Amino acid sequence: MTETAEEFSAYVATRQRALIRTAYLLTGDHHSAEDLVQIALARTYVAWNRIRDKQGLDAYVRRTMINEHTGWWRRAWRRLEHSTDVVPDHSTRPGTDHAASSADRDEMWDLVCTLPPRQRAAVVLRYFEDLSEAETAEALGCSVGTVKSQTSRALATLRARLHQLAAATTEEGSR
Amino acid sequence: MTDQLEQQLTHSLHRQADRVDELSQRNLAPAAFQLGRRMRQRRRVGTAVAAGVAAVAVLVPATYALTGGPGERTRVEPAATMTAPTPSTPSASPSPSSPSSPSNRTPSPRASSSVTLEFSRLALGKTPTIPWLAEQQIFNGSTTTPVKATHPVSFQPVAGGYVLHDLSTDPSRVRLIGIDGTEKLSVPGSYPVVSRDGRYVAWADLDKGFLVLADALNGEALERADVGRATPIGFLRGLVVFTPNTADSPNPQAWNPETGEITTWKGLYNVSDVADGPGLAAVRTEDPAVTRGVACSAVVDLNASNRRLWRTCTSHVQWLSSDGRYAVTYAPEMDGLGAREYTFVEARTGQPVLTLKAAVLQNISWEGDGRFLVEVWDNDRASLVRCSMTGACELALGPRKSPAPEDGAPYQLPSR
Repeated sequence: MTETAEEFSAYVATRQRALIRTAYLLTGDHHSAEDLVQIALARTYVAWNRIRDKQGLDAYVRRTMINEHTGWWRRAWRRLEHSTDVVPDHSTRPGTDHAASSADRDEMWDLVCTLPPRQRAAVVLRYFEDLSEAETAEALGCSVGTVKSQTSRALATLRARLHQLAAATTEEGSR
Repeated sequence: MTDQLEQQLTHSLHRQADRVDELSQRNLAPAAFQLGRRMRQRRRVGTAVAAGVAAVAVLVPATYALTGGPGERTRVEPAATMTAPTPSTPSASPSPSSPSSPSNRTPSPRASSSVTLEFSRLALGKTPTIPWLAEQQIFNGSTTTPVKATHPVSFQPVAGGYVLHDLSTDPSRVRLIGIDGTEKLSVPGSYPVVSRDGRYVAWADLDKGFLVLADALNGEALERADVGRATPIGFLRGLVVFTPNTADSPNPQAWNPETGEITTWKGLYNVSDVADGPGLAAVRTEDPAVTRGVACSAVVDLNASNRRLWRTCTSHVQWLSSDGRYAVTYAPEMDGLGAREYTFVEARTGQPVLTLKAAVLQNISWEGDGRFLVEVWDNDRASLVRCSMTGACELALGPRKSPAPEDGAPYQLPSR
């Protein structure tokens, strides 16, 4: 095995799990997440010798994943309406234990899945990866101001839709 | 509230990520190795080809058959021998040292313009001469048409009014409205496309798996075809071109509403756009799911037995101008926010004419005389910018913030 292959294998062994977790949050599907990570890793392997700062590998792979995922999304550009304003069905019924219900269902995740791709990516990087605004901007290839506005929009949307869900629950409960 | 919301969001994301660990995980290193090696090989092949010819404009004597018998689904072999596509990598991987640099743009064999759009450096010109939508109204010259729908909604002009794709409902609806906003039709449906003369509209009823053809003037349904879930792309000489959404029918197809004939377009993965009048189609030639992300594009001349005019594996050919003079391409790998660069090329040769750069570029519509409008974003503001193919640009509508916390644009051009 060459030195490059050894280094690469060691990196994958160490980071694969974390990368798939992030990819899953971007795609919402386990198989797509594995595909996304695999392609990002392959591109990283191709560029291995050009990546001088091996400490920055995670940032490189993350950025490649986001690029690739955006490419998938763009290839289906006529379906870019995947993101939706429609609040997902609320399964909580009157009289059910809300805590027990929410254990099976993650309303916040349902709502995150309705965010447009770029807002979703910003949210995942900021609130899961815990990246700074500058790091998020680097990963997305945009300005810090854009990260702020995208994150702000995403939070406003989530807040509004949570209010909608709460109102719907109250209405159902009062019937 | 924000702190609580952020905590809830963080908790939810970690909880979902933890679920991934419960699922089986294979070791991705061997597959990534294999794929990486294939990418290197393709890159070498691509480099060798590019050294001899301009890869962005490779004249390829290949044809795609578009034939079939009435009332049946046919899978037709290419009319002429077609060399299997030799995909190269879609673009260079992002460089860590210059993460936002454009990916491997093939050198232009002749000079073309390049323009970076910045709102503050653009003069305000006349308002668009084609319809645009803002604040639930469609503006078109001196007429204003109310649109009773919140974001997101897309629209296209038709004879006697507009067809809307209303995504504020689930399932989405196709609506026909008159110039005065009177609703003529509202049915569940998706992805409406309009014939060149504006007289007919077709859409997909995804729940029932139908394509529907209707009279655009009154909304009367004229024909239906049971094709399964599909995405209509556009009209082509009376046919409705569509892409099946099922894995077992990967090739684009065409429905002839007069005969009921469904024809498979063998050898292609997808149709991105069609220019009905001049008879050109922008197509994708590989399935990226099969080629692990590689997707080549081509422009096909429908007046010459569907001959492939040129092909590129370094950018996507996404749109054609309605007069067939220009095609719009973009790099397949972009940043997380959308396209930052569109390259306009001569549709029949692939020769670059103009490159537009901006923070984010979106939809394009042609005004005529080689001028077009493009939706441009900079942070949370958007504008419609008019450009000519010489690279002269101006604001058609001044920058505005998006009115909605969601991702709706303050201005919208007709969808295509």
